[in-house]
Amino acid sequence: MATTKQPKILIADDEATITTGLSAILSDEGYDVEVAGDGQRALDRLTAESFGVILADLKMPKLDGLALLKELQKRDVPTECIIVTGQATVDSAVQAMRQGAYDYIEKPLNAEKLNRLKALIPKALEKFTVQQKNRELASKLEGLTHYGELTGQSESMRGVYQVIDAVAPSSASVLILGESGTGKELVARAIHSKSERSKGPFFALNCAALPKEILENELFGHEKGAFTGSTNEKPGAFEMASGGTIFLDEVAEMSPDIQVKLLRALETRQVRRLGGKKEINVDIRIVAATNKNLQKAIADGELREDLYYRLAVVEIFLPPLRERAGDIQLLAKEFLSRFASENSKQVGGFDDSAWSWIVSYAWPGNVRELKNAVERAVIMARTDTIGAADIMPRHLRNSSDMPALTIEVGNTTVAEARKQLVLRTLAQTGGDVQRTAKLLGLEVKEVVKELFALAGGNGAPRTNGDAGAERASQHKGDAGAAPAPRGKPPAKGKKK
Amino acid sequence: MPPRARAVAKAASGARTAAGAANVEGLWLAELQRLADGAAHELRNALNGVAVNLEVVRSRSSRAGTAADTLGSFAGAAAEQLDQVIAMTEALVALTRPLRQPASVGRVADQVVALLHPPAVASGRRVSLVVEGEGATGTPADVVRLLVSGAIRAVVEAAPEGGEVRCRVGPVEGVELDVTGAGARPLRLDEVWQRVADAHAVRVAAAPGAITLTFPA
Repeated sequence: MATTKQPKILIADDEATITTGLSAILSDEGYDVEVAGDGQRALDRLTAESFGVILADLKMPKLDGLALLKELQKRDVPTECIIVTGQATVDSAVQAMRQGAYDYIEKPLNAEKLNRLKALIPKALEKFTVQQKNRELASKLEGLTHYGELTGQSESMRGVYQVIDAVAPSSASVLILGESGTGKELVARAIHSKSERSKGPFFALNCAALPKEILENELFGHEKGAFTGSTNEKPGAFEMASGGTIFLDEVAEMSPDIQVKLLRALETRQVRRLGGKKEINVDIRIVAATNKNLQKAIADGELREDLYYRLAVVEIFLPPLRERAGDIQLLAKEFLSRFASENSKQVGGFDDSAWSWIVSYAWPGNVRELKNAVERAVIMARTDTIGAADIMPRHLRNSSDMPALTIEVGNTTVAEARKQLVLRTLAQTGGDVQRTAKLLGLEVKEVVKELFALAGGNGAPRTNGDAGAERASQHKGDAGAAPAPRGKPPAKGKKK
Repeated sequence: MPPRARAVAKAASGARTAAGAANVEGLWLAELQRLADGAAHELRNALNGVAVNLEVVRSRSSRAGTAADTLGSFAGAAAEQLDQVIAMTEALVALTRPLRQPASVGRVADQVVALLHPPAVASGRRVSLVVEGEGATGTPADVVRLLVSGAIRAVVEAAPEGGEVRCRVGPVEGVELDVTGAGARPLRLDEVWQRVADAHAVRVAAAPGAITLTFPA
């Protein structure tokens, strides 16, 4: 006996005597049944409400069973269709199945066929339910453009979100790898906010920004008189962040002796202030980040291997922006909207040349560079639309400042050289595609094609499959490795 | 005419008559097939109605505490569908049986309408028949069946959705079948069908949307 919580069943048939009887039989089986007197009404009901299964007569007024099936496919209406036919021919059955029918059953529905129908329905409903769950999951992920303070809907970012979701509830240390400007601190904040420590403090320290002594003092605190001028005791980050999370950015820049202390704190969950004698218990979670190639740092003795393993219980790799082509437009629009609002500017969007530039530029400074470029463009905008020249870095806008094109013989393909040339010329012309084409002796469409190819084809930004997702959980210490350029940043050219 | 030549002419005439009869029989079988094909879906539908409603009666009546009156509507629906099955089956059986002379145009029309009405209703049309008298005719039975069925079917097929086809059989200078209801739509009448009518002195008056057959009494 089916439960009443199951998805509804729709019977589409113009024969009232059949629908009444069939409806009674299925209701007796515990299903929630509705009837539509013709194909068009069935389509209206199916588009208005969710039905797990539709039993459709092949021959109906207004819209017959096959036409209904076709419409359902066309409109992507989720339901499983069982065709009930009084004209069972191989052709119509094959056609129905080909058009996505779950099954078909031939009239008259004698006891044997009714039993078959009764057995078919739960299977069809099960398929519907499974597919519905998949659709919900897919749409949840697909529609996910923001996660905490992170923005992105590319496969690689979805992979990052999944890892954050999985690791946040645990107390495991997390090492975030990624180029500068990719949003490592935002990931750390997301981990903290989704963990049970979210009510506790989040303490961020940049290990590269502070001199060794100050960093040590900031991390572990000091007792009164520990050093000249220490007139008061001061708790360190470990104490202050107890019950919360410490984010250590640029962790590979930490001096070796602080690394030892950090390692000990991680192992014992105890710290000792500078000049202090007693061990203080701390309850902290460490989230560290670096843009360095950690394998190289370990090999060069800059990072203790045992500390690395302590920190990298779980690694999250944040892809560079150039590998998240699908997110570039989303981020650019979001920054534009944010900065236009903050600066009370009436800037509505980017023109085509600006978009060409945005999606084709490599953004070596990643999201941070894009954010700054958009902010600058909004502030400087004189019209309600931002052009390529507004969004380009200044050194690329003035031809006199333009670095020369680099073509390393033996290390550059013709396609790469052509790409560089188009990009460089486009930058020189301030994003003027027509002038670029004229200067290069190309057709405008060839320039546009080249730009679109850089963007991933057809003008739509490219996504990077699920490579990022894989790397998000498997990547080991190569975050600092030189990124494979998708259109090398023009600023890095060296020689003519 | 010498006796031998008369005998040859008689034999030739007999052969022509036999060939003509065989031809009409073949045409009628083809027509019968079309009628049966059109009715099959509705026959299955009606049987389906019987089966489904009886299943409700069967399953609910075996359940303790089911009031008998709640089963009445399902039993009634099954009986109604069964009536249609009976009417269609009877008509089909009758049309396949050899017909005694003189043929009754009224009875043939009744059987044809019994098969054409359910599918016509399913496609949003209605077919009604009024028979005034038996409408007996000396025209060979298969010719009557072929012409009556062909005429009614042609008008029903040409009738617009929501339209009604009216058939009337009455004695006017013989036996007249008057079929109307296709609006102004032209009828698709088979050339062979018309030749059979001519060969058996059946007058055909076709107009857009209507047809009248007059059989010799």
